[in-house]
Amino acid sequence: MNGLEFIDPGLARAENGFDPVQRSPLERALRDAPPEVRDLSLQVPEDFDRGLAGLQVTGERLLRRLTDLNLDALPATGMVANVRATVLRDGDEFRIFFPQEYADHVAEVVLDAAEGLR
Amino acid sequence: MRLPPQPGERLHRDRPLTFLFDGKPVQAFAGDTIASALFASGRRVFSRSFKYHRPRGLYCCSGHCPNCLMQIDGVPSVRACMEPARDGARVQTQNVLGSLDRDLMSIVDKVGGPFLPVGFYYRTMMRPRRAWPIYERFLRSAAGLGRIDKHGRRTHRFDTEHRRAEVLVIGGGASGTAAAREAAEAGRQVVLVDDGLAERDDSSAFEVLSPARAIGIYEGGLVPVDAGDVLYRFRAERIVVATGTIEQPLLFPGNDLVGVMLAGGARRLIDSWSLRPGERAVVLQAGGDTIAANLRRAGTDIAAVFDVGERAPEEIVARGSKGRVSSVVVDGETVECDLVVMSGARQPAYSLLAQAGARVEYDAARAIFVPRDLPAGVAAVGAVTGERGRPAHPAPAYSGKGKCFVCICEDVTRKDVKRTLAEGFDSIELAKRYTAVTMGPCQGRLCHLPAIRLFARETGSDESALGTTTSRPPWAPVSLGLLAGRGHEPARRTSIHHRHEELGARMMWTGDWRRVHSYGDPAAEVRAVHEAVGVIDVSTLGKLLVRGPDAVAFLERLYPNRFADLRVGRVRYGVLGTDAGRIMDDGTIGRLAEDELYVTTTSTGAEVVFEWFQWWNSVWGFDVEVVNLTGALAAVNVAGPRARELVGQLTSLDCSAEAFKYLDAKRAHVGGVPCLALRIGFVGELGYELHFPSSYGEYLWDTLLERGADLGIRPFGLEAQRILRLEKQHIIVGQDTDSESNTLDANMAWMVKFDKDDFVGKWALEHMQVRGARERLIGFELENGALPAEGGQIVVDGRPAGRVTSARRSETLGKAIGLAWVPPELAEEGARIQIRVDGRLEQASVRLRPFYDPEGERVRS
Repeated sequence: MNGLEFIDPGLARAENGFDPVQRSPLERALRDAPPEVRDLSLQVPEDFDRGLAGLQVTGERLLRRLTDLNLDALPATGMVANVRATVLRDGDEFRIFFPQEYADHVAEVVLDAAEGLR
Repeated sequence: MRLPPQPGERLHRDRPLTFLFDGKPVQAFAGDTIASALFASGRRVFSRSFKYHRPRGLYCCSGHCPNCLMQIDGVPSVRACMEPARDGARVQTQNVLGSLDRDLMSIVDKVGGPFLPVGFYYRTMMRPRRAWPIYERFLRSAAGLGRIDKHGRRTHRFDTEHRRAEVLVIGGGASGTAAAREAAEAGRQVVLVDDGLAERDDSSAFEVLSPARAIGIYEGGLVPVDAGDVLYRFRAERIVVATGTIEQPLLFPGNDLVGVMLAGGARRLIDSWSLRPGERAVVLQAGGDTIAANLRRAGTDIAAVFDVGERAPEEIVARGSKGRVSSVVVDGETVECDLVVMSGARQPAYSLLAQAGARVEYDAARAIFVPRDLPAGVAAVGAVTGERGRPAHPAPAYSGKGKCFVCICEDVTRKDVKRTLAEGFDSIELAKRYTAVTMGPCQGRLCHLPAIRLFARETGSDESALGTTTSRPPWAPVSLGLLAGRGHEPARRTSIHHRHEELGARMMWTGDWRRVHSYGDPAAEVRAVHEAVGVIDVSTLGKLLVRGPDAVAFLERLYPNRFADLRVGRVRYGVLGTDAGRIMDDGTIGRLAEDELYVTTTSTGAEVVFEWFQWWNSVWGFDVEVVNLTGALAAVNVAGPRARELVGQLTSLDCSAEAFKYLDAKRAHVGGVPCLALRIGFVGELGYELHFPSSYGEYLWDTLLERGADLGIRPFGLEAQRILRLEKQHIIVGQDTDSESNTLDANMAWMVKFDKDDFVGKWALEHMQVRGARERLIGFELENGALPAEGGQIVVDGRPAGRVTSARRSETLGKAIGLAWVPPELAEEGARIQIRVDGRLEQASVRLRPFYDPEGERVRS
């Protein structure tokens, strides 16, 4: 292994009886999540920083409870659930990418906000 | 008793409901407020005043005054006149000792007046000073605005929602509604915020939030709106303020008696809730109010109407019995009545405009303050502009015997204002703070104008010269729960966090990270590291990649260390300093390639160091890129005499002492996961720090524990790590150093390379070198079992001379050990120092070399 390859999760390999398994930082938190909240952590776009977790959230109102970003001017980076994040929009669906170490916190806030709208 | 249905009545008489008032059932209709239903049931006393505990009745019926504050469903200080009646609601009186009608504290009104002027407690309760908490508790209990349950939990759900509007209209009266409709018809996205008092005939073209109140106007067009359970944070391109006017009370003795009421309050009782405010009324009005007609329609006899704007009487006194009005004397003419309806000037509700930046000036012709010079993006429509309505110019106050209240929220009388002036508080801002006028629940709505006019009269100045006090948010009362929102606290968790929880770890905060304190037995964890192998999650370490042609030169200039001679594949410990030569952070620097260096920082210092690097890079213009990998990479430290055995099982890398030496950095697959392995030894044993993609955190942790089971592996937490590093006298920046500590005094002069051309803090360190040490960081040990507290005092000749920064009991060494700052002359091996432990002075010995494995043989093995 050379250079910065140790950063690349794609270079993990099964060998000598080892079979590395990746785990999304949101896996536990979103186990019983409603359909409007989906985990994108293992599908972070290639050109994004590594170490990001990702969520897909449906519904503008839910987003309004999470961020003061202008939802008509996305993509943009700003605070979502008090964590710096990048938000992309496709119609009523929003993709949120943020540092993975905040995964439990962001999931907690998103699920709670969704609960508040039910 | 209710009147027959009135035009505009808000009641749904087909939907009766019942709530409890002080435990007794009260009948109401849907559409009632708590206050209107209580009034309908015959209640006239609604509260007791703040200081004198005088009985108070309905006054404004529009959410301004403090007279109907009650505890409703456990929430204190709710305005009953604005709170919709709900089936089963529990309503309780507040600020009474006894009952609302028989409050024992009302003795204060009878005998306390002369002894309890404004600010009396500052003069009479000063001594003895130690008794102040007792005085304070008594005062708080005697004069209060309800009680909160100190042990209560969240009972309401409050949410925050961020909204945008092209046009935000605040105020749903006729002008506000017209402005909203006009903007909507022009194609603008409009939201109208209405407190729910006004009637609207058409709202289909725009969104209406009601009942809701704008709390303030902040920079950038931010308008928080209280909609009950949701706080809307509006960002508006254009804000239209249509908050109308606030009817002002008149100042005369007895103006707070039960039955003295603002005209608007009486009107709402009649029109909205079909209630007769009284049987026989005296109307005191300044400027052609039509309230008399409403009263007649409700069946109230009009005993007399005085236009105080035109006739300007000298004397007005309301007299009463048991706190209720029974007559009014106007210039010697006595009129029997049970209701006094008063209406002074109509003051524009300009506060939101003032918060937005408008200038406020006094209009002497109308005797009101009006907003001027509105800022861009903010407009005013309707009566709030001060351009509408007939001038009403009542006297600032009317003479007569008895308490004349300037501020009914804080029980401030005209006499109090005079006394305040006599004491020298002749600025309105000082007088405001001293008397608390405008600082009560009404926030100046009903007392600001009268107080300034009275102030002007008493000082012989005019209102224009006095000006006005500052308008600050919140404009409308708002619950702390709504401002606080949901109780989420951002916490950073490593990708292995859940494994720690599953192992029963006790977690602790380090900065905003959640880290493991221990897994239940720190001493056993220390033993495992010394005797077998331990593993600790160090993913929280800051991890920065510095790369580019100038990478080495860049770090040479940032750190006092030398890196030019650091060979590829080697690691060096470094301490980062500030411009003033103070210790800022520490960590390891590994050279991965000629132009690539991997820098670790402390867990709490990662962001600061990253910004520090970026800032200096932009200043110096080096050809360097700095990448923060802190979150992308997990890290574990595998340490102990059997660490080589364990790591060797997981990788094809040659882990022998010869091939993988102390302070080597190598890349390899460990358990199939790509890793950067650093041979470093913070905890004083043979160790491998593995850095790898975060998403494999749990997998590699599990693999290490599984494969290490036969070797006696134990996970260890920060407590064990702190003992282990203390045995080696390794410092923790921020624990053993503070903002004044420097590398020389901390015994790390060996790393400072003064022969380098320059580095951050060099000048300061050179100065410190010439000056000599002022204190030194030393190790100490106590053999009698005493354990000093961190922060404990070092005593020399009976005087404090230093401080303990870290102290732990080491089971391995059989004694208490620690680090401390002491005068330089005591920094001698074996020197005796005294440490204060639990009030006693204990003898300790100075140790300048590591307590454990001083030659470092184990860590290099």
